[in-house]
Amino acid sequence: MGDDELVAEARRGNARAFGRLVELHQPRLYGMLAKMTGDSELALDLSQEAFIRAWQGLEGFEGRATFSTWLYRIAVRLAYDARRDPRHDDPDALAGIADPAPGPDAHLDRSAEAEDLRRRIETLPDMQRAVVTLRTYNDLPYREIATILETSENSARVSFHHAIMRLKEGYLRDGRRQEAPTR
Amino acid sequence: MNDSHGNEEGPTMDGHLTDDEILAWLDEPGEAGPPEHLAECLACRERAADTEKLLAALGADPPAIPEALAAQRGRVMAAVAARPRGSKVTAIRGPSIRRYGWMPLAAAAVIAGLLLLGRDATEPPAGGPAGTVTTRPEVLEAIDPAPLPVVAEADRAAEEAYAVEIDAALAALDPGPAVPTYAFGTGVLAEEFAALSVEDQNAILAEMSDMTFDL
Repeated sequence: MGDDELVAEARRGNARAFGRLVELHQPRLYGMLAKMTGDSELALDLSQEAFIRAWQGLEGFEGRATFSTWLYRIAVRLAYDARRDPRHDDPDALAGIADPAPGPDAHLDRSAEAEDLRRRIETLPDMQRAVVTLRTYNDLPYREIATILETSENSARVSFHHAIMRLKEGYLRDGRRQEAPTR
Repeated sequence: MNDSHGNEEGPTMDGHLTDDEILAWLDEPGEAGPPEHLAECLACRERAADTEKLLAALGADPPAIPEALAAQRGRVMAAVAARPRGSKVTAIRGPSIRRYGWMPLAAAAVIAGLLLLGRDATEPPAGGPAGTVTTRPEVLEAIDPAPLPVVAEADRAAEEAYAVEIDAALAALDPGPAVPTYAFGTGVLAEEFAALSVEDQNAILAEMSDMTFDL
């Protein structure tokens, strides 16, 4: 059963159908929020809240966008709000969480690099952080990103390019570049 | 002239690709293939590789915490089962992981599991092996969407089940020989003492009150 059928069932009050939607979308939604906020615990809280709000608001979901677009829009708004909430200000939240890596050295290198990048992402404006995450992690087309962020495709594209240029500048200037693969 | 990314089109003054052109190609390759300049310029290829590496790092999975996600699914479903659509969102916010740790989520997952699977555990599905635990659609659909004290219901069911278990265990115990009980301090069997007249009982108690005991 696809999202559309599951949503239709859930709108009729079928909690099991909604449970299936949660199961299908939870990992990617959590990942998006973790990337966007840089805080895994906050991302869990926000994704939980997003699903509950989605359930609460299913009556208002008119099907003009896909369920995932609508769900991501809810989640992005929550992430924006959380960023402005001082209670969620914990820049080191990801530092203590294990990142499965092949070996101790690789683990350290990758963790340091990921941490560096995470801090750089945190300096980006809301829109740029959201676009970068939705584009690189969720691999969404600009049309869908624009719908989620309630902006135009071109604005989303420009935001992405500005964000990458900004990230790239600091990322490479600090000598984190590794051996470039040959084409 | 500006391109769709708000940047000037074309190569830089020295003939190399701009960073934005490289990014545009990596981001939306299209059918045209890579810019011809890349094939003949090592410097631009290296810049493209740097950008590609950054994009890959941005797209990498965040640290995985699957057990937390599983617990979260349970918690979401417990909230869904407990609340009708359209009720106030603020009323169903669960305990924050940051604030309370993982225990509330784990507990919620167990509760949701009891809610969703509980009845099936005792009833093997038609055609399935005995003891198989499955979730039937009607179990979920039968959940009353009205606000329910989910935890209290689950706890009460668990307590009742536990009480039945205890009663059965006690009933199965060998009671052994009856142990005589005595009316306290009288040295008289309780049943005999109870059978005495009130006067006799008082007489015995009066004698006891005059006694001294070497302890």
